[in-house]
Amino acid sequence: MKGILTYYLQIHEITSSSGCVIHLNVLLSQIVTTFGLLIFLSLLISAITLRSDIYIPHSRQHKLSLFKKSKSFWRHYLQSIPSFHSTANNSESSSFNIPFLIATLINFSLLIFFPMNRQFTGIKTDYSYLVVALFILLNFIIFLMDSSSQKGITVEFYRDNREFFSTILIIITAASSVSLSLHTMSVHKIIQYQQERLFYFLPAWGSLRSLPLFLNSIVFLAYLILIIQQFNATDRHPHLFKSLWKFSYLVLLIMIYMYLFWGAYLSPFSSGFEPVSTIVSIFWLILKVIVILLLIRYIYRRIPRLVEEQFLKITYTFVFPFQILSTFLLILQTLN
Amino acid sequence: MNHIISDKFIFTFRDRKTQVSFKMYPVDNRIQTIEHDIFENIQDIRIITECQPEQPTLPYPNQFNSFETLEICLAQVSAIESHYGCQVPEYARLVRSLLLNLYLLLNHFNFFTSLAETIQLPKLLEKSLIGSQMVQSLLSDISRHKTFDKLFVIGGITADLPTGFIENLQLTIINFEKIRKYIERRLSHRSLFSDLLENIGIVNTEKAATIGFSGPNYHASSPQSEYTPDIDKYLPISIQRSPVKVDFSKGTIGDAWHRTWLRQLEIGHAIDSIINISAALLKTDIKLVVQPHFSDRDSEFSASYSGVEGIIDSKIVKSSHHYDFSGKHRHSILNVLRHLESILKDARLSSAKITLASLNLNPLINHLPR
Repeated sequence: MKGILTYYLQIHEITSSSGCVIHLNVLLSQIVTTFGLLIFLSLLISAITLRSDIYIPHSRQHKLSLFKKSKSFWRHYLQSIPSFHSTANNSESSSFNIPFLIATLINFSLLIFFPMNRQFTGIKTDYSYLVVALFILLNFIIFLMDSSSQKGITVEFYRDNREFFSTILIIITAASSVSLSLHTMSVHKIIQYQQERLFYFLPAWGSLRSLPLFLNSIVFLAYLILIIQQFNATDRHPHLFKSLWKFSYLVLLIMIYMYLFWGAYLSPFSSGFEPVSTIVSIFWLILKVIVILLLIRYIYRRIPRLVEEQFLKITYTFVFPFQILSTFLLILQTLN
Repeated sequence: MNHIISDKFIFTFRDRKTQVSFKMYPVDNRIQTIEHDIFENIQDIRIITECQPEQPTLPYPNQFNSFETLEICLAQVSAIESHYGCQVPEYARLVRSLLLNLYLLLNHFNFFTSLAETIQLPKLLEKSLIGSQMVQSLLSDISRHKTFDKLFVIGGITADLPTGFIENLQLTIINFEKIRKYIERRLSHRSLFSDLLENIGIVNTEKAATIGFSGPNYHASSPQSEYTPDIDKYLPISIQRSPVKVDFSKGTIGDAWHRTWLRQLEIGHAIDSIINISAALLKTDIKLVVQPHFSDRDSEFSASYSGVEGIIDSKIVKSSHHYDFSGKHRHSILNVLRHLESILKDARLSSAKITLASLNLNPLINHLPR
């Protein structure tokens, strides 16, 4: 254990651009914070990712008061947790699946690239965004392996893969626009740029920097919802490792969304250069994640799943050309 | 035929557990053949009506949810009554119509449950599940005392409605109206949900007649501005009849949107009927049953009953030595299944699921072995 930590510290010291030495207690507290946050995020995201049954109280008078609504809302969240032990009864669904497990571990471990606040900076590499984006794309292979386990070639195999790949493509293009406009591949530096102020009062978060970036942030959110729809469409009784993989993938996507477009732990009221306590920055991060999750849940509940033709038509005749155009505009804008 | 590429559609029934799967083989994204193994497992629904203790019984009661038996029990009893010309008191007719209208609400809310499950619309799923659950809790007030196979007897009913039932009904009916308005808004406004249903699974009038459509599916295929729902003919004369007005239209007549829209209209119509009937019930003298008299007629006959989801064909046999009738019943949904290929041929692969869900396969659940 000590050897691994020393090794980690060595890497960290080499890759750290600021050159400061990270202490062991800071590192440990970062790991604790990261995993605490992870568990919290998984709880919230599980409500959306897992196909939990809707809780309907068996009573005649359904006065949907605020109290009952909030009660049913929390019940809805809590119901998704015991689905682990309900799937465990089925030997097929809880069988050990190594690719899913490895992918889940990789997805979760990639979170070490994301700083939790200004003290817990994570691994500072120049290409951290590139690594994360690459692994987001590589998750497609895991999705492919899952659908290829069906007997024979079905239309579902082509269709689901096509939909999923198109969705990731749009998401990666949207995320890359931030990295392109700021001329950096490092998540840490992207956060540093977002600490600035626009016109002395607006926070300079990725989505607020320019109109193409703002539109890209909306596209990212919309396709995130489409991914959730696709995940929920596959199985009625989800495989344990598969649902874990879905958690990890969505956590990764939501984290990258928060960090690239919405300034992660930065408060909208104070400039990023003022000293801010750890608790306050983690509070802002959690608040933003909750707001985004509630927004996702609100929209997800109100739109049906698009049929394949509609999806492909919207994606390749409107969204993707727009993204190419906006990227071109961003490059022109940042040339000067 | 050795197909390589196929698509599978799993239809989830209203209980959200039972499923049937359809295998579709396309050529250039258009369906050519469709396979399913439903007919291998189909069973007739059997009910035995004994006349001496005057109660019908289900031979396999465990197979049925008690709410699902309501319509079938009523179909058998009505068939025997009309065959032998038995009289039914006004009060019993009113109670039967009330329960049948409640069953229509249950059936149509279940239709929206299956549809929402197919197109993955959680909000609609939740709303329709709440509606379905509310009707079930109302019906369970009655079935707790007497199950429906014992409630409906030849010549009337065996028990009155429980105390406070009408008051509960009047309180609950506001919520049904709220759910109906939500569905109406979703369908009439330009929304993704409405776009998914428009111009999909079109069945024109001639085709509907040849296939043997009945109930809301049939009415959705015919261009008419108003029609009388099938269950209205069992209403007592004292109740004022009003037709269902089809005053708004989108897409093509006979498409999935129309089938959904008509069910929404029928929910509204049933709510009006329930209000009328419950007002009339309070004014009518309570007379539950008239002792039936069986004239010498054929002991074997077939009948058809216009239920909430189309015609139920029944074959009823009276045993010669005992005073009991045994009936075999079939929902008209079996006709639709038989002609599924002609409905779905050359349809787009992606729209097949929505078409199947809009035809409402839910009554099939009673025919499947559990």
